[in-house]
Amino acid sequence: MNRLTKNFDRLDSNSDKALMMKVRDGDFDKLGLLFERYNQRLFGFFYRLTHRRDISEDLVQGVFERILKYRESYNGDGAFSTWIFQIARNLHIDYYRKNSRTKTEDNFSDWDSLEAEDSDIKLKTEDERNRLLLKQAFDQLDEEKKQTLILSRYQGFKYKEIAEIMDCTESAVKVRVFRSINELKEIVSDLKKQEEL
Amino acid sequence: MIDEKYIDLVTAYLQNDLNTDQQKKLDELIESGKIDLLDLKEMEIMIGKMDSLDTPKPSSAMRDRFYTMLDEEKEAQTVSWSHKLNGWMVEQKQRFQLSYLVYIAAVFLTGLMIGDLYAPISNQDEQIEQLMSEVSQMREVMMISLLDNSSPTERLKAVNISNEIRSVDERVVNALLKTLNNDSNVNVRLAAVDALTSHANNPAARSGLINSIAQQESPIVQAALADAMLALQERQSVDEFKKLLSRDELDSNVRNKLENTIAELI
Amino acid sequence: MKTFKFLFALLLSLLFGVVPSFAQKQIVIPLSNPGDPGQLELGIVRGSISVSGSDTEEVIISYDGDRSMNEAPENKNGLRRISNNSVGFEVIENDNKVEIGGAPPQSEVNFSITVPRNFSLYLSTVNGGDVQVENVNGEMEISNVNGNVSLTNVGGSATVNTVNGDITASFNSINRESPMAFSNVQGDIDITLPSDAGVTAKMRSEWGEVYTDFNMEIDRSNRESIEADSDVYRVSINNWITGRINGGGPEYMFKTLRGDIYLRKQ
Repeated sequence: MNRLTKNFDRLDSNSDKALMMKVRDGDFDKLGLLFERYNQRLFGFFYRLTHRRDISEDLVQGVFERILKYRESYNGDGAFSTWIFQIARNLHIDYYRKNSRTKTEDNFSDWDSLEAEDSDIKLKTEDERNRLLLKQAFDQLDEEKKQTLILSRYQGFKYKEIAEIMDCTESAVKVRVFRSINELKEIVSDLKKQEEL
Repeated sequence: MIDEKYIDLVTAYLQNDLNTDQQKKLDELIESGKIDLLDLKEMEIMIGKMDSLDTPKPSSAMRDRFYTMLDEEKEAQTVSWSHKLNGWMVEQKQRFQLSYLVYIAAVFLTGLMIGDLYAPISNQDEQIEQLMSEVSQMREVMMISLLDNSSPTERLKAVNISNEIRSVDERVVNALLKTLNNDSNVNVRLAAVDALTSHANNPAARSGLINSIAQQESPIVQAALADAMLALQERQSVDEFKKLLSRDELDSNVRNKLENTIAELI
Repeated sequence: MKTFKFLFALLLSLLFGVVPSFAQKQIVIPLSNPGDPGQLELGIVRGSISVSGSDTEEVIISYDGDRSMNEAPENKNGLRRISNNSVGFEVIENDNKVEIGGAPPQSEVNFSITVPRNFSLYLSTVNGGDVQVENVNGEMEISNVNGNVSLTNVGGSATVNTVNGDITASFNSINRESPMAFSNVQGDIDITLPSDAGVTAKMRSEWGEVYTDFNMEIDRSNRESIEADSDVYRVSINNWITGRINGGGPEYMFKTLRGDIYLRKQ
């Protein structure tokens, strides 16, 4: 098994920083470059949390709006990538708070999984079924664990960087990773048992 | 399940980030049975499976939206210099972080400067008035320059902007007439007919429309001019329409329409 | 900046008997900046144009010429014709702008072109075929005279006109800032927009009907505010139906003389 291959190449964080410095000083065109570099990653982050394409796109837009709004507060400390994901995470928290109690969220939050369940019957291959199970299991994790896993597995951040983004200690991140993987394992096997019944 | 006291080791292993010491220690723990190799492999496999979940790609609308916002911000930036001042202040703040007192002094002085700048124009209405006329002038300049743009969409935008200008001056009318008679895109010319019609209280716009009739080759523009003349009850247009009718290649639908138009105008 | 220049004399190859007259031929044009948006410009007099976007970094031009272009004798009074003013076209690539030009007006050439997805298209033909576009995102300026225009699965913005033919377009995303326009004389206009499109639609069919399944706020007074002049007022009431979809936005013009207008929600 090819262990721990990264999903993408790490971008040169120094040049991101330089671009952001230029944005801060009023050269807004440089934000376009940063958008090109980060829009898919941010979209992936939000999509895995919300399973809603439209909301994820709104949130990505929100991230760049905030960057423009608060660009003057960017001081170049730390990596740009952790900074932008800090913003992304805060935005998602705001969104989550605003919508967790409204009905629309209830109606739509399972959009994707509903769709998936619908096609469930038609699914033939073991592979696809496993993937679906994992997806369902992942959704059952709490928000913090989801975020930690997404940042670690899909965004290629190191534990230390995740700690920065999530504003906690590195060891807390490690605990979360450790526990969430074990939890995932358990949920998946539970789901499998249910399915066999 | 693996004991949580080995979290550091396990997580480092999972991120493929073990140093030689840790590797040695992990090997020992596995050998002594303190860490179950099966558990560890299971975790690793779980992670491997996660990689199989993919996400869709964002739509191109997201990109469009971003660049629209960026353009708007760029425009806004040139207008609002208070923002720049803000930026400058933050810059100063960073520069003088070590010497807080100097920073306070700088802010204090800046405050005095701003106070001075704003003092003479305290009349808000006056400012708004001035701003409004500037906006309207800007619109005009923007529209006229957009009409020369190579992109048909931009030219269409320009013609639409002219509908928002309350009272058009000669420059705007001339620009629209030039578009009506020369633009390569039929739809842009069509929009120009409409824009000029709505400004038909301007004599140059009105006569320009009439003179343009015999110059138009496109059936859809010819028909639009017929509509315009009918709406304006412009009898002087009849001769021009007759010129069009004398052309053999005239579209039969348009021929029909022009004949009706002439009948209604006379 | 690289510049590619190709000159294709179809007849030359025909003369040497290399290629039969009806065979589809293909030219691949590499782009100066692969992966970046680009544009394609193609204007012909006789023939059809079909453009489709795909995950390519090149522009692939397939074409077939008709038989008429090689009907002229190869040898006449002992002289062999080596160049002919009636055949051949030229492809120029410059900074991701691809321009196909010089196609002879009297011969029919059908183009089928594959472009990267983010491409702007400026296409026109007059006789002998339809213009079809699919899976492309960009600015589109399409014009035809005797033939249909259909855009499938496109994004960005478009201005389309034809005289005798239907216009069909389905957008899966739109540029939120850009106006659009669709006009013809004889034929339906059938446009599908994303359900959340914020658009101000301005529609008119002289002898046909307007249909929509959008929840449209019909505005009958948009011109009143501009001028109190009663003639001008009539123009808007009698001619155009103006309606706002999702609160309104850039102006989309739909105009036909003899066809119906369909504005559909995706």
